Amino acid sequence: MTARLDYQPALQDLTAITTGAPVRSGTWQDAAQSLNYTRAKGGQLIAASQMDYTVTAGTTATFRYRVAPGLLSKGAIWTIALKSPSALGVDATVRVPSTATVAPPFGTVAAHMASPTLTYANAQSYYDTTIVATSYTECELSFSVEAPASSAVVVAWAACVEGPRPYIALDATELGTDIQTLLVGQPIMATTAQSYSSIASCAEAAAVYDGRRRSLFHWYNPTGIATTSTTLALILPDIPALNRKLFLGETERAIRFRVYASAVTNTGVFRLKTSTQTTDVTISTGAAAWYPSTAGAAASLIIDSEDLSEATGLQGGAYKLLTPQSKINTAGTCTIYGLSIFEDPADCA
Amino acid sequence: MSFSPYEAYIPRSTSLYDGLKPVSVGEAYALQNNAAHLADECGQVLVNWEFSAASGLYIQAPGDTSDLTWKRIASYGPFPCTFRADGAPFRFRVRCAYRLDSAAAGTGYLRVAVGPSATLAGDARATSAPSNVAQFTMTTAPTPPTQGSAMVEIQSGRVASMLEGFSTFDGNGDRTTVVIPQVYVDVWAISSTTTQNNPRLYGLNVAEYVGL
Repeated sequence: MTARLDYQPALQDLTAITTGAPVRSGTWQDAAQSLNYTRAKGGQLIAASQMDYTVTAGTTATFRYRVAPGLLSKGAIWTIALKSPSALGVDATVRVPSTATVAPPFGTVAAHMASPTLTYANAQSYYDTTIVATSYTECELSFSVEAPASSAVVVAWAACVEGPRPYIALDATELGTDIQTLLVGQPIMATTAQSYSSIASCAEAAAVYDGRRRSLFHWYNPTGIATTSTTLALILPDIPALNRKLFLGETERAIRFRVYASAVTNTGVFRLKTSTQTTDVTISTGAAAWYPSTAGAAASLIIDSEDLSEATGLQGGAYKLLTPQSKINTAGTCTIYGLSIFEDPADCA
Repeated sequence: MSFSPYEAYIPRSTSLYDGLKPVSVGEAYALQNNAAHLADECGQVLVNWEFSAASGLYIQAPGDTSDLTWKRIASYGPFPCTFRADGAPFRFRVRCAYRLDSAAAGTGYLRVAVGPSATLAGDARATSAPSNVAQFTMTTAPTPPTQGSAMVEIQSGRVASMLEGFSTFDGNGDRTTVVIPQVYVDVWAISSTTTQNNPRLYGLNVAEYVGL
C-alpha cells in the first residue's frame, strides 16, 4: 500500500470547518493529499549556479556542495551545462559524484558539447545518482569534469534537484497518509498512516524536513578566491536570500551555511552578514576543508522570512541581502572555494 | 494567494489526535491550516548566482548586437515547478544585476522569461513582454551593476505544455518516470543601437513564491 503523488496540492475548504458541524470526510482527504504532495514533491538541492569555469586540457576539476536533503530523497538529478572552446565540440568526462567509478548512467559519462559561438548553453546533460536513503542528514554532493588532453572545456552552470517520488510508503518512516482511511464511515484510529493522527504526523514531518527551501545559494570555484589581510567582498552584488515563513508572527529565522576554504601561514576568517546580523567562521591553517567542520553543526545566520501579505513576499517589499567576506589574520592567504547556504531541519522545529 | 488562514504553521502535538480522543473544531482547523500552509511555502529557489569579485563573471551576447535582434544569452532548466492549490503555477520572484558593457550612448534590454520550453523563445521576444517575462532596461555602465527585480507569472493556458516526463527514483531507489510540470528560465538581450553597448548580466535570482 502506498500514497500516490499528485503534481499539485488539494484545494482545501477551511470554511467548511465550523462549530456544531462535523468536519467532512472530503475535507480531511484534501488535507492528507496536500501533505502527501508537499512531502513527496522534492526540492531544489542546488539552485542553478553560473560558473563559466574553464577546466584546462588534461585536467580534472571537482565541484563540491553541502546540502540537507528532504526526508524522502532517493535520488539527486544533476543538470550540468558545458561549453566547448571549439566549434567542433569536445568530449569531456563527467563524474557524479566526483569519486564515481561505476558505469553509466550513474558514473562516468562522455558528453558532447555544442559551440558557444553558435548559441549559449545548449550542451547541458542530465546525470542522476542515488544519494542518502531516507535521511535528511546534511551531506556533500559533488561532481567532477575531466577535460580531454586535446582541449579545455568550460563548465557553464550546474544545478541539482531531488527526484520527486511517485508514491510514498504507508509506514512509520515515510509517514504517507492512506486517504482511503478518511472515507465516510471509516473508524477514527491512531494507527500509522491512518486517520487524523497520520495527518498530524505527516504535517510535523513536512514542516521540519520536507517543505524546506533546500538551496538558498550554492557557489563553488575550484580555483578559489584568494584573500589577504584586507577584507575582500567575495561576491558582488550581494546575495538575495529569503527563508520560507514557518511560524506565526515570524519575520526572520536562521539558515545554515558552510564554506570550503583553506588558510596558509595564519588562520583566516570567513564572514557572512546582513545589514543586522554577522557570523564569522574561522578557517584553520592546512588543506582545504569544509568550515565549520562537518563533525559539528553548520554555522547559522538569521535572515528575513517570506511575508505572505506582500506581493513580492519580501519583508517591507525589499531584499535583506547577504554579504560574504573573507580575510587572513595578519599575513598569509585565505582561499575561499565554495559557499553553501541552505535551510536546515534544526531551525524548523 | 496564501491558502492557509493563519499564513503560518501551528505546531501541534501528534498525541492530540490519538484514537478515542475527540478532535475539537479548533484542532481540526489548525491541522487543516497546517496542511495548506506547508503547501504554500514549499516553493524553491531555481536560480541564484552573482558576479564573483575575483573572476569577474558576467554573461553577454557573443559578438556585438549590431543586427538589433534578441539574442538568448543564458538558459537554465528544466526545473520541477511547484503548483498552488487552485491549479496555477507558483509565481516567480526575479532579481538580476545588469549594466551595459560601456557607457556609449544607447539603451540595452534584458528579458528574463520563465515558462515551458515550447513557448519560451516566442514569449521572450514578443513585442510587448507577456506576464511570464520580466524586462530590465539599462542606459549606463555603473560599478557595481544595477539591480532590479520583478514578479512574473505563467499564463494558465500554458500549464498543459509544462507537463513533461521526469526521470526519478521510486521508494526502492529504482529508476522510474513521473509526469510533472517543468519550467525553464531563459535570459535574452538586445541593444537599441549598432554601437558596442551590449547588455551584461552579472547575477540572477529566480525563486518560486505562492503570491498574493
